[in-house]
Amino acid sequence: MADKRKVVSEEKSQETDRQFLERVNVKFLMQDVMGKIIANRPDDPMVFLADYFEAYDEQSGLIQKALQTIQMTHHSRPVFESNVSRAYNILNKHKVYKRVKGVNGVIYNELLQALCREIESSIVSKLMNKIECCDYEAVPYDVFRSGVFTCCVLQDYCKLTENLFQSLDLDKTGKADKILCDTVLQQLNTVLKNTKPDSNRIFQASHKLGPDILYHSLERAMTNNKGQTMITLEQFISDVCDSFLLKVKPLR
Amino acid sequence: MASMQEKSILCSIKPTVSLLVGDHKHDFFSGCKMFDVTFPNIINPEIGEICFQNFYVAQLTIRAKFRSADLNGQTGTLKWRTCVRKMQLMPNAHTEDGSHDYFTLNRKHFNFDIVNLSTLRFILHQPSPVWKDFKLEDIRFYRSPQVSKSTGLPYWLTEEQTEEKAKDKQKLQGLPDLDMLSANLQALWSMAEEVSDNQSTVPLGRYEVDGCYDINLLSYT
Repeated sequence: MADKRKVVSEEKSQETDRQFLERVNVKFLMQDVMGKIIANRPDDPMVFLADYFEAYDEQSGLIQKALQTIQMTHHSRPVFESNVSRAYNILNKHKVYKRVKGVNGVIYNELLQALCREIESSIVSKLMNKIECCDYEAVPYDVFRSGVFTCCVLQDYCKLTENLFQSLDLDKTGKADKILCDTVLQQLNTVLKNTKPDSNRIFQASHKLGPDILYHSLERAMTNNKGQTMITLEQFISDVCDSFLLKVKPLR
Repeated sequence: MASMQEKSILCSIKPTVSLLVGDHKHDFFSGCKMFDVTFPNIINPEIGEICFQNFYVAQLTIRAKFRSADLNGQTGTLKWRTCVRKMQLMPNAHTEDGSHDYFTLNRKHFNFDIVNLSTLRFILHQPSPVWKDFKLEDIRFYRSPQVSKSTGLPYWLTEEQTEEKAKDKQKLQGLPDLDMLSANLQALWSMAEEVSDNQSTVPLGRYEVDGCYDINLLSYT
């Protein structure tokens, strides 16, 4: 036994740097991470690298790995699509029972919940009512992709709504005038409710949400009512998200 | 399109005949073709407009065979008259110009009103030998000229923003920055639209509708 160990250690001392890198599999790992960092072009490469190696750890769960893969890039970038499909493949290793593996409702719902971690829980539960799968259901890729995409966009949507509220909160008190908010929301809703398959719709929408029309509707609303009802950020986000959720089709 | 408003007149278009010059052994194309159009299901057809797409026809002549007005209860005699004479469809027969244009002929182009019609004969001229074939495509006849309703410009194009308006805006107190507000709202709208375009259409095969089963799907077994 002792002889054998000696031989191995001798072999080790003789190997070149290149051989060492190949043996410990670092070469492949570095190639992979470089490829990913180029494809995803993250804003903060250091955080990206840290997340990558965290998820590389075999101990972390499938969900964590899938989540990391999806969050590698913004949903507006083309590579997002292939990331989602890789996440789906990762989750495919999920054990349903004994030897059956695949993406079922349990793991899909868990992933969506993880994606929506930063969103208000009341909004998430409303969203989940629409796109949640039953635990026993097998989730096809198209449903998976649509659900993941919806969650990712909703996250941005909430952030943007927050910005919107900040601009409506004129006195910076954390509360905004209800009439002002309602008028803005109403304007958004009328545009979103137009579902005619018509290319004019885009121009109409941008016109309706343009400064001119906004000015007129706000002026009308503000002169008629001088009420001092206020609305909080949470309430406003919830209201604006409701109009977003109208666009999410419930699963059949 | 305006022509959708009125149905085109039913007609039967006879096969095109190439007019040849010379005897049977040594004939050659004269650069002239003709075909007849009849209106078998219509009594006293009347034509106000003819639409077609050109295919390398340089000049077009249309002749009409119609019954002259009845005299003392006797049916009038059949007569041929030239309705359109050598109308130029291609400015230069040897070049592509106008070779695929759409044409609409109406009463302005006709030498007389086409009423009591029996047959229309289209005579196609193409003096240039460079084109392999020439014909008219997609021929349609209408009773009255199609008034092309000019669809007005949409309101979002016609309303213009004047300088004064922009100044007025600043006056109203208690309003946020409208440009930013508008940009924000448009971004929200585009996100919601994007999501709605990306919704899955794959059914999971659920039986419940709003949490209930359809009674017809349950069976006694």
